[in-house]
Amino acid sequence: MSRDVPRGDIPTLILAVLSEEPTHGYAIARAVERKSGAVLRMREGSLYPALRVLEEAKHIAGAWETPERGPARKVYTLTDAGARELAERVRRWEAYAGAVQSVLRVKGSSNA
Amino acid sequence: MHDPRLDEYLDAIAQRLRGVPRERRDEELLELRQHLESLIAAHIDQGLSESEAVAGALEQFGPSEEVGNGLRAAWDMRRARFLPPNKRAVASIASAALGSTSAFALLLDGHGSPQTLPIGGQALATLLVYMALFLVAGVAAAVARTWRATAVVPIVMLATWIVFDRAVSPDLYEGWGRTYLNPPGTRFDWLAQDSLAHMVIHAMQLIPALLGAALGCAINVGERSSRRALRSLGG
Repeated sequence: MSRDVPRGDIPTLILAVLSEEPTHGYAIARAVERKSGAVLRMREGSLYPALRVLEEAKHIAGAWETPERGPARKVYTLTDAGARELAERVRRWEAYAGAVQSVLRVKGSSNA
Repeated sequence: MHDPRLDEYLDAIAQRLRGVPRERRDEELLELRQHLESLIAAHIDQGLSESEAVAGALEQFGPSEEVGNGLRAAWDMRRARFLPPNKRAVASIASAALGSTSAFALLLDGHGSPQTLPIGGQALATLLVYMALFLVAGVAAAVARTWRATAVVPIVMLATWIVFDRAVSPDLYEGWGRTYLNPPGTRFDWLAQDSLAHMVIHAMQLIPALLGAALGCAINVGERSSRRALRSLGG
């Protein structure tokens, strides 16, 4: 079962991927696909507006790099501010998911 | 890889990025092209024909309008932050107020009317209050955070105009050929048929407030669209 990623969640996923290693846009999309077991799907063009917003907020830094093979590519790196932002987003997400889970558990036990 | 659909797709995005500096736009398009070409190559590796791979990659990337509008919104937001609109507005209005006040004074002086500068007493005090009110209205409109606040400006302008005309005009403009519509001492005796000189003077006085109202509207529109763009992009 695959699911479309809401646009509002894309920046968080980008920050999470970049927290592991600096990389370019195409690789970010593939990492999201791989890490979610191909469950999360996104319109890959919407990565780029989100990347610009994160760059503008100085949560990530982009720079063109020329690898040994192939053309130059723009590689994005997580900044310290980005790492803090990611931690905050993860905290908010866990609090939200925990709250939903609590409700579901209550519903489950009342059904039992 | 040279598929016309790829070029058409990128051209459509480029259309949305008109006004963005060329270097920045070219960089955006190059990055998108590289991503699309990687996607196409991956689809071909999976066994699709080149034509199917291009179609699949474009579908996976999303509609060009959506990508172009998203990049455009991100650019507009960056530009808005680079030039803080409120500071620009206050500086512009202060300059306009000073300029129009000086022009008003020069016109009064050069007109050769009985009320040449320096004017004094009650007329000067009221004139200064009047100019200050217009300046405040202009600045308030420029930095107003809502449409409603900006809309207050025309009301303030109208009110000050009426007060000014009632309190000062007969003394200040005496001998300037103003034709009053009602005899002195009657109701609405301050109503007058303005000469061209009076209208020019009024127009100059209104500059700070009008400029403020226009800038206030522009800022509100700009900030609203930036906030909307930021929300839609998950920032």
